[in-house]
Amino acid sequence: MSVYVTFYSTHDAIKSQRIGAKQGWTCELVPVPRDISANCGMALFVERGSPDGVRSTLEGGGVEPQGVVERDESH
Amino acid sequence: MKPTPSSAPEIYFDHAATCGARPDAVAEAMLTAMHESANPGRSGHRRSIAAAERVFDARESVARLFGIADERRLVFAQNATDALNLAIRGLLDDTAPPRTVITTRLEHNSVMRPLRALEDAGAIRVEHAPDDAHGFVDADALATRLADDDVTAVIVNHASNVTGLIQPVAAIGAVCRARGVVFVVDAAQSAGALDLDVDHAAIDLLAFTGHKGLLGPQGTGGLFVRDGIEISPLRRGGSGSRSEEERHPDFYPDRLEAGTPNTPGLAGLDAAVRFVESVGPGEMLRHERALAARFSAGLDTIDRARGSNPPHRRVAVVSVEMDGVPSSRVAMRLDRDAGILVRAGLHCAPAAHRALGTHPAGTARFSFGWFNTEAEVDRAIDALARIAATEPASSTPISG
Repeated sequence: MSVYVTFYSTHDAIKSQRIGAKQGWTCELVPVPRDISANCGMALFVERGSPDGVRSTLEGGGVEPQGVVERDESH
Repeated sequence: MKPTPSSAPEIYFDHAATCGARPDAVAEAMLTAMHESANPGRSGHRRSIAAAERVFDARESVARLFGIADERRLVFAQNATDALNLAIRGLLDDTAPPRTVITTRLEHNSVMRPLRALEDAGAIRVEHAPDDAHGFVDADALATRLADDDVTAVIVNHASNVTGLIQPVAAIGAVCRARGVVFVVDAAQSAGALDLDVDHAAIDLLAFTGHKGLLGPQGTGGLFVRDGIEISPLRRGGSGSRSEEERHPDFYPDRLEAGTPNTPGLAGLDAAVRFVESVGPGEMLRHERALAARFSAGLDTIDRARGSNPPHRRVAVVSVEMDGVPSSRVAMRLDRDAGILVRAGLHCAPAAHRALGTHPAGTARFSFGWFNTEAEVDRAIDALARIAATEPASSTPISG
């Protein structure tokens, strides 16, 4: 499974992508899918990520995600 | 008759107004950002993300330089004046009943004009901090004054743009923190020149500009807002976040940033800060102070000239008076005769000149930068000596 992470601000989106890259995640910033509600227009797509693990890591890096949504898809 | 500019190589001693040269990396970063040309974070496409990364990197770099733990509390502005307006009006616009704001006698108009406007509107009372003859704040006496519970904020110009005098911000910050008073610092002249840590100096609001000591582009600056300090936005609008709402977001940095930012400028600022960090603010200040000291020593050899010389720590700014010669004429002759560029007059700081006894005549201000050399200082002294030797005892001001 993969996850989409949504954010309150653009700043948090970029910060999360940097955190994910340091963690070695396969991740990228993408436009927020239309069926997901979000403050910021960018979401972090994390391939083969677990929602709890991704959230926990980002919170440890000082980012509070707005939402973490699990999806059965890959980019 | 139109004046003929000097054919001598230019020497730029006006760094307190804006830096005279920038590292090549600044222009290169700006050009890259211009070519990328997208609105940061407003869209999800690759160029928008790249632009958002430029802004993010700049925010991280400046936050690192000032010891700001949460970079989101650093919001970008056009310059220090813009940031100070945001700080002062955002903090004090809705103050009721009227409260007292204490500031120094060495403030720039970027602080005095917003304060006087609020004072005229009956929102605040403005008072000067206890100080010595040079405007250096007495932190102990200030602590006594703050024992009365009527003061909302203390606003201090960290380094004077007229004499270079450095205020004891750590001591003042400790006093303000102990009394629960908001401490606001104008770092227009000190950012890049002095080590500045918002926690060490207990600074609640720090305003800076990018185009002076930080060697970045004009149109960049910002404000640090400590968590817990309530600042109302002066502008609201597009933020790239919470787009479905007609209310501006309340989270940082978006709360105090609205509209498309100066992405190329911020890319340049990031490169500039990295350059400053690579040299080290301490090293830059040592070089610039050595030039100022050499200049002051040279001035001592010219009978009619004297420079500001407060007995306190200073950044590399020296204000010069020449007996019987208006500062505007000194500056004009330096430019025309020797290609030396300085700023004459009151330097947007009439309060400071009043405090120092140089109002309304003003001074010819020499402000030294990282790219200046000793040979340039020596040429300036030679040029001043020639002016002193050739000007009549009472010159008339140059107008027009």
